[in-house]
Amino acid sequence: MNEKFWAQVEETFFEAVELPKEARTTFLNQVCAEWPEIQREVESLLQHEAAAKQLNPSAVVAAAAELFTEDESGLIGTVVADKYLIRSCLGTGGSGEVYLADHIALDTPFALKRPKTPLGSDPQYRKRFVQEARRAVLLKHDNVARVHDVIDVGEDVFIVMEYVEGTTLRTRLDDRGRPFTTDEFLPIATQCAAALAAAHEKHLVHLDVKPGNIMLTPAGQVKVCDFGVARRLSADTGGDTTTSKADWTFAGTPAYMAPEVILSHQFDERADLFSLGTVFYEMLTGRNPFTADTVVATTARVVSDNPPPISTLNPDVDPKLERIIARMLCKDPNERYATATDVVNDLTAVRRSRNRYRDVAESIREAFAESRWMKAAAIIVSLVVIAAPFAGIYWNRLERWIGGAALPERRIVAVLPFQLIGNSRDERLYSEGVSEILTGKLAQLTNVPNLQVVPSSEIRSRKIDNPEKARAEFGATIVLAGAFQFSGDQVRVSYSLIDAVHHRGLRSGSKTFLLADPFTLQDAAIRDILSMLEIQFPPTAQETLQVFGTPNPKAFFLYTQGRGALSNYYDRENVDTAINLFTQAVELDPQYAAGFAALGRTYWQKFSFTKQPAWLDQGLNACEKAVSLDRPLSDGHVCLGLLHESKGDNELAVEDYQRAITYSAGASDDALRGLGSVLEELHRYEDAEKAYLKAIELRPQYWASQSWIAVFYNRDHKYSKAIEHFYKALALSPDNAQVYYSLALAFLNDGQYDNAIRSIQKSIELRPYVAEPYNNLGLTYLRTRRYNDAIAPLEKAASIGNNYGMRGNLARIYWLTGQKEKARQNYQLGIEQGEKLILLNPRDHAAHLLVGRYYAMLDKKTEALSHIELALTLHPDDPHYLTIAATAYVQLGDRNNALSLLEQAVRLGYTTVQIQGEPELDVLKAEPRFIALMSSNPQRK
Amino acid sequence: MVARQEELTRLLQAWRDRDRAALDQLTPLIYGELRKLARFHMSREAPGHTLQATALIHEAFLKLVDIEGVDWKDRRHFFAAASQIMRRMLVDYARKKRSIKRGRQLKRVPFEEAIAQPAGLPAPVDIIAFDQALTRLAAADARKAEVVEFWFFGGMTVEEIANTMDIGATTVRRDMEFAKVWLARALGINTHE
Repeated sequence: MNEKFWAQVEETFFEAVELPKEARTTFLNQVCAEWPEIQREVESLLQHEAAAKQLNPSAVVAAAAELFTEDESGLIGTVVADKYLIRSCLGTGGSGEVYLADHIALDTPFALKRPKTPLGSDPQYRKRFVQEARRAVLLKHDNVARVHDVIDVGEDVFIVMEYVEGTTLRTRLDDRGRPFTTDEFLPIATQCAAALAAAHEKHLVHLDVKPGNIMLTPAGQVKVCDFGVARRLSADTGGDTTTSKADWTFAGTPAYMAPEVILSHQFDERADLFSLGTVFYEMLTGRNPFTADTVVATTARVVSDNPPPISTLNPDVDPKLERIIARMLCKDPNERYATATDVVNDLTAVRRSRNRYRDVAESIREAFAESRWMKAAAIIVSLVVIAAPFAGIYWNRLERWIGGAALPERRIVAVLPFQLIGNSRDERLYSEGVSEILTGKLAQLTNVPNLQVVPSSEIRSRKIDNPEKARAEFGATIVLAGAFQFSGDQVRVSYSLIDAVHHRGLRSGSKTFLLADPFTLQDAAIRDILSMLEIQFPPTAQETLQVFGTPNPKAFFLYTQGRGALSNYYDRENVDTAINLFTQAVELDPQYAAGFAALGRTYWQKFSFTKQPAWLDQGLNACEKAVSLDRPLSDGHVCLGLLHESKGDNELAVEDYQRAITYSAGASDDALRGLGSVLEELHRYEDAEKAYLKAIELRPQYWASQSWIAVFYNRDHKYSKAIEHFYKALALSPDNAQVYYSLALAFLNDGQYDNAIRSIQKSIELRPYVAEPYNNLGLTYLRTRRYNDAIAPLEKAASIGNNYGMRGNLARIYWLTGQKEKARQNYQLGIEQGEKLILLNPRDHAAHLLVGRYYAMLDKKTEALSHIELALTLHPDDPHYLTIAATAYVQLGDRNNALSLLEQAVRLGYTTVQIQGEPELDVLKAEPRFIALMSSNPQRK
Repeated sequence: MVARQEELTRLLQAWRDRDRAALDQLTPLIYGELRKLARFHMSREAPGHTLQATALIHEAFLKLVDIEGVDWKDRRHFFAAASQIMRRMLVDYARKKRSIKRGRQLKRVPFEEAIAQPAGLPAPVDIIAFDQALTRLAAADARKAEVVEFWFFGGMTVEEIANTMDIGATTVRRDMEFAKVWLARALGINTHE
């Protein structure tokens, strides 16, 4: 800035400001004739002369006060009472602050309220406040935000409350800008009254019932908050001198306060009914009946004014409701309802008599409640079909009415592939693509407390297609099932949430979309699903959840279809279809990075079937294109990683996966797993361990990360660490049969046979139709020499599994129990099945090893040795392989070779316990080398 | 406490000797005290109660520093330091808060209607915008910006500012008047005249 200019402006300003306003322009015209910029500047400043009066140090202080006393009271990041880690501030106001906190040990979110009261000043008063607040701990009801504890720490008192996700009724009222309709009003009102009924039964008066204390969850559940808080300055403070009459105005809120509370301090439960009546009135009319400009005027109106009848403000309101509310608002408590239960009953009666839509909906809700999920789903699906013509309104109602049931506390969600009503191939691909994409997006939300999403790859690879299976395999508590129905240029999507534990419907809904607008469909679907799951749409996740990658709807449609085709990649024809669809998509939008990444990945899939390197190069082209278009797109880097890994460029793959992890902030399963496995492949075990640990650090709530590292430790012979992490996985995802199964393997390897047996039995209990657990149960008995117990499970495994390994294990137990002929038959069957696999893949080392062992058991030395030697060449340095090979050499009479192999196995980390687990090696017990080996007591890794 | 006072005094002296790092070390020490005081004042919910800038900032310092024990020259620097610390703290705080809000779109829940708010407080200014405007003012006229800083963030009187800056009280008043108008324009504050 020019100093001369500045000085001139200042001087002119002060001259002008002394003059009366009318004279200023003339003055400026004169003095600034030669320098019009000065005139403009001074005139502009003079216009702000009045505004400048608002600018005072106290405005800064006000801002300071707000900043210092709001969300940041220095508590965030601190631990309260050694238990609660304060995460963020949820709200603040005259009554205090509310924080979101995690219980450190339970890993559960709570809301901590720090009441703003002059608590510190009077120990007596403080003691009574805490006592009073603690009474609320006894109150348990679905519609009451539970008070878990009241903590008195040093200078503060904290009330530990249930953390409720949702909005307050206050916000809802402010946001919607119009009154509630009767149908919207009734479910909320009934739940509010029910909350009060429960509290009053325990003689707890709320005293501050108002919209700001009523929370609404996305699923439509009501939670009344702050029981036991407002009463602090009420009449029962008795002779306390610190409590003057003025204090109570800060306890409740005058516009919702009962007249008797204002006037006399003589009140009972019925005061809450008046407050609730005021809330109801506001919901139906859009305005509080008593609010005036000042507190004094408001209290005067509460005491003496009768509010105008609701119907004069909202003629659509059911007259029965008007009567109920008028009775709640009687000035004399004796004229009000006697109890909140009476209010609940009257509201329920109104609900019952509501129109036919609701009755139908109610009957469906009941059907959901008692029927198994399939029946319920059938009703939904048939309703979609039957009710299609007028479904628009109908479904919206249905959605709300069914939305009553509470979700399981632990949300372990499996998204089933969406069903298709109709069977056009295009439609099928599209609907499968949508469910694939939705699962992927949901799975990225693993930082939401108490939410686990089963990865779609797991759903696909285990062919999970119904809630029972999702429950059995992964311990899913919630299943999301959906259906698509196409008609003309529209598609109707309906989804339902099913309680997989109790087999009942929880929520459902449906929407119709234009096919030409696939963006809206996906966007609305993800929002609806989150809302059904009672997950607040995380604003930070906006980018991941709402990115389509292309502005071209047709390209996005093709992409979605491609994803659908690729999700069924085991059908090879689908892979070609996917290549075709993704190619079309990127032709339509040559900037479509996600399209290129998907195309590259499909080429990789094509390569893994055909093993033709040309596909790898095609894939690399596509993925490099994806990365060059959109570098932070993690899919592109994952795709490069897969391709580099397949080309043997493991070092490059490591970098690709690391980039993918960085760009996805750890939300990409493929990248995290890929990195771990490629590092293992490179024998960089310490780095692999770090990668898996990093995966846990990035997604601490995610069971699969715990499971991956545990499986890694198990492979790396670090069994106690494996067991530890399997336990952590189970803590996050109880009843997960997969994890129990893997845990059993770790126990088995660690020689903890009793634990192994319990763990396997648990996994069998959860999913009795899978062969592997029976096999392992049998092997465990076999290793502990409980041969007779081993027979039944191994027979069961071989009959379900019918693969060569299980066949061979059955042969082993027959052989060990002296049933030599049966043993030979089964070894022979095992050889036949194994050789078929070797024909398909001549480098299948596991098949070579076991087939070799079986030949040895049949005393066919030449065949045995050729297979075993090949297996050990293809897959050297695996102590497990060496030990199995040793059993074959023992059978072939070559004890020296067997002992050398065992010594090598021990050097590679095998334990004596593991070696002693092989009954076929028992004949070595007298051998000095074997004795020496067993007493060398190799350290467990 | 004595050790802490000594530490503060040392840091204040270091800061006076143009050691910028000293201010960074001072800030957290004073910050905690200031926060506690602000909370204490805000919790006195008596209507009509206003939080005084001077009271707040001075109380914070007086609790921490033996103000009577330092000579006048140091006192001056002490006030100047106080203003700068206050400004920095508020801006940092406001930024942090804004980023939290932007990040999570934290919707604040009004747990109580406004009746419990202390009456008589003017509408708070946007601290970040104010800070930026003040920085721009400093580029044009460093003295005026400093006057405003002492006045707004340090809670200092005209006399104290004049003493500290070694300028006349009239100059301080003129600077204040002009700077206010300039800042009001920079902040886009309008009236309904």
